[in-house]
Amino acid sequence: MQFLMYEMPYLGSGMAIALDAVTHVFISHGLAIGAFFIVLLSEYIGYRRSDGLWDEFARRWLKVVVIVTTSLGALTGVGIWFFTSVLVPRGISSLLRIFFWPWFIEWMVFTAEVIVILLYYFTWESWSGGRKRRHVLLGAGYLALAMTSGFLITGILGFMLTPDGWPWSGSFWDAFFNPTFWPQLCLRLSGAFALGAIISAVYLLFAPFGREFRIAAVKVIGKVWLLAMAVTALSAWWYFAVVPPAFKAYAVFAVFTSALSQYSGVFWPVNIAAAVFLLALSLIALRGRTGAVKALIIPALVVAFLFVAEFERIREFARGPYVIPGYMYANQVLLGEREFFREKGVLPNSYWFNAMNPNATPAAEGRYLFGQNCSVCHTIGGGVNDIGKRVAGRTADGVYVIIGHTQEMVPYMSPFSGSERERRVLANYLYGVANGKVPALPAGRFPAGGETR
Amino acid sequence: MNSLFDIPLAGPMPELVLRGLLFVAFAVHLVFVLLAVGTAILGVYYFLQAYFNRDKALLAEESRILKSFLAHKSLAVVLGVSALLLIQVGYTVPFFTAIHIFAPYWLMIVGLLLAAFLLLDFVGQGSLAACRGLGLIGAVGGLACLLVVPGIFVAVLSAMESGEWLSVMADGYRLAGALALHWLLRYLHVLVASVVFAAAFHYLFTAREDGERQLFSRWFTGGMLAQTVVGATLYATVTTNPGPVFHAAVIAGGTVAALALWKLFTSADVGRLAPPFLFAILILMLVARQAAQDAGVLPLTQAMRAHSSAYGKALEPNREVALAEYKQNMAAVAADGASIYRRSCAFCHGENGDGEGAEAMNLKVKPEVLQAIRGEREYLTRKLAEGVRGTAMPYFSVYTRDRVDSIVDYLDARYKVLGAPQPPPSAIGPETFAEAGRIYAGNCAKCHGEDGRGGTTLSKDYLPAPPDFTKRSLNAGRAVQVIEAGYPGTMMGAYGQLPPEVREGLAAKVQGFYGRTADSK
Repeated sequence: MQFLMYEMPYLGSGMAIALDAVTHVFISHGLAIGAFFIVLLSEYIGYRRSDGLWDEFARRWLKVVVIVTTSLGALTGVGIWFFTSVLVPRGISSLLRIFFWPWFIEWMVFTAEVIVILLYYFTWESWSGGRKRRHVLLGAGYLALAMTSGFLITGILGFMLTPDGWPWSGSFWDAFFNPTFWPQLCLRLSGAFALGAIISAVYLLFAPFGREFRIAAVKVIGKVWLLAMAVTALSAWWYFAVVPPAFKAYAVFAVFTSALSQYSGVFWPVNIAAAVFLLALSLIALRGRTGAVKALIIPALVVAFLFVAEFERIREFARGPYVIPGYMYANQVLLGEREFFREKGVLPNSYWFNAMNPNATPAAEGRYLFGQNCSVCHTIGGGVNDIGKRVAGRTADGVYVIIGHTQEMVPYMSPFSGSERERRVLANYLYGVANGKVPALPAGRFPAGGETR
Repeated sequence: MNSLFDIPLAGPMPELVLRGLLFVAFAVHLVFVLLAVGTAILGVYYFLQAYFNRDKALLAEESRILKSFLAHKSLAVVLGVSALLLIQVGYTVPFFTAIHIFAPYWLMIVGLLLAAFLLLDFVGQGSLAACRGLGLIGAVGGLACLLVVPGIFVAVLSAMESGEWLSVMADGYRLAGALALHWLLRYLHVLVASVVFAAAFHYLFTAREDGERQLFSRWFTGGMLAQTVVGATLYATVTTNPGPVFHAAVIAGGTVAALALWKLFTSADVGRLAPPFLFAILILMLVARQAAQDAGVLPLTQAMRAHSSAYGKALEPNREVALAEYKQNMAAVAADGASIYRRSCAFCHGENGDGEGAEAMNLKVKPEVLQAIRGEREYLTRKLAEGVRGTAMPYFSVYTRDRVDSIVDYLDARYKVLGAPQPPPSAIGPETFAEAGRIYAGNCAKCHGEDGRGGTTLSKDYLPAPPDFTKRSLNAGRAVQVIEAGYPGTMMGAYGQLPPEVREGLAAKVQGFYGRTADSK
């Protein structure tokens, strides 16, 4: 691979990206779309009923929404890109080229979105009275833009799981309107409204507002919550019906990981119980029971967050050995490149490795091969999915055999790319690391090979 | 660097258009970056002044400057998206190499900006003004975090434009010598520019009376002066020769700046003067930057692009095969015991469970002959989930419980692994059986234990460990074979010298342990 590599210490690449991305999804869906909808709805109710309390709630909630979305929301979004630029450079560069125009249009929409929400925020006081209607319309304009953002990004996310005919045709439209596009869009938008209702309920019940107003407002929020949740459930069912069976086969494992995979029987009971809990609380909100809702809303928020994390985890994990199915493996080796590496080897063709290691030892070679083949998912020397623990207990020849069959043995693992000699070098290196015979060079910038900082 | 290459996918537009768009995108992004940074510097400066004068009214008033930070920084971020997109597509390898050289700092940007934005916005939008201590921490901490970020970006761009990546890496992933000086001056140049831009902005848009305008006017003039000095030093210390466009643009920019200063001292109005002059200087300086970047990396980028398209073509023949394999993998659903066995187990244990898979020859500890294995469900499930230490057998907790169960079910359906072990073909006479018992007690029990459970003083650290005969057994044929030839790669030796009927007797003896519980004798 002709990019320098950087391995995320301890967390590993996947986990680092996931933590940032899940936070982003929570904010971009829950606040930028969902909570904003509640703000807009409240402003509208205040405007129709000439009720200052609704307007006051909307104005105060908007301030939090604006600050958090334009900082935490925007930065975690750009952050996914910053992280992937360093951790999966070849994957992100390829996506940027396949989806240049949606990305570029998304940028324009994103810019418009920020300008409109800033206008909406800064004109709250000046556009009142006779200009209130215009202000509400401005807010609706923002919401439309935010949902358009969701539309554009969904095309790219869906492609990464179900590229459909793209690997063969190379057609942009195959890639964008892929099989999971529409169900995922429905799922994300309805999920956003449900999340927004829950988050808004937290603000309503914990920030200082009058009792009467809270009862009235929680009923409205409950309606949005219930309706959105029903659509979310249907969309989730539709979505998973479309995911290819080869990928869906790892869905439950994605959530449990090998640490808990033998307790996977609780998957459905726990998920159903959690969904029923959210449903029940929405009904309680609908009846205006502020006390009960207040007592349970924080657990509900946590459950909602976990649902988001679970979905994103399944979506990301299920595509298994690929980062772009049909084109690139998770370790950034092109499908068509594997044969080339089998014949010619990875090391002789790595510019950076050779430039930095003119006299590479087998340990340096092994370390580089690990970085190149495995480090996108595994850490070394302690951390998430530590390769030393994964290999521990296996014999050296066993490690060698396993390396040659990763994809058959574990369907969601990328195959090894490299020559027969390199397979042996990597096996000896990993066996040495697992048995404390070779020091596991910590994560860092590669191809430093023999030396890292 | 001739063997470096770009992404083997076509770019979205002609190169010249892309570079032009990048120029515009970067310019617009930079304007808001400068406004945001400058606003933060000025805002926090006046915030601190009011704070230490203990003037609450003034404090609320002064966060007015910071109030506009929310808009500047939001626009700086969104406008940066297009610049990032275009630079990653247009200068793929140089840009990715540069950010990798500073990877830990690059990753810190997200956290630093997050802290800066949240803190400064909460101060600027008046949410922390009520609590003095928090306001102070927010303002100072926010500014400190914010000011690190331009330093990182300047380092990335300096490294990228230099093209001297290997030497930066050899210097311990640091800018050293002339590059370090260049970085420092350039960073200062950005900070002072931000003060100039913000001073002009606040002069025009937030100042409410002449006294305030006077203050911003002073910031503007002082900034312009400082900028001229820093800029001249930066220009004087450029060691490469980026070509005539670079020099022309810098000299033109410097001339416009000098003209602006002259006009300022002949008492021109900052409000009228700043917009056209700042625009002209910014454009000229960015032209110079673009020229320096293109001189440093453009030929290399073009060579890499050509190389990558050739590489892509060379891979083309492999693509068909790879896609066929991909299609096959997508059709293979690893959800039931049979398909999992075929993919995950057969390459060692063989399609027919005879231990003769293609990889068996590469293993010292030979794969088990699964046809002959008998075991309790719980024991087999555990072995599958945990693997067998000291062998190649991996842990199959890479599958969920239902899948592991399905493997056991499949093995049982095919080989009856959950059934009783097949006894020896002919009945064992009592004497032979007694003889086998003596031999077991004298030899085998040292490792396998009197009770057949293994884990004796001698064998407790063996890898692989002797199996627990009470939970797992073998058909007699296979057991006799192991006794006769040993188990290759393990401590189990060969006992071929024993007479055949004794070997059968031993097999029967060992099978006798199967199914015993702790209290049964």
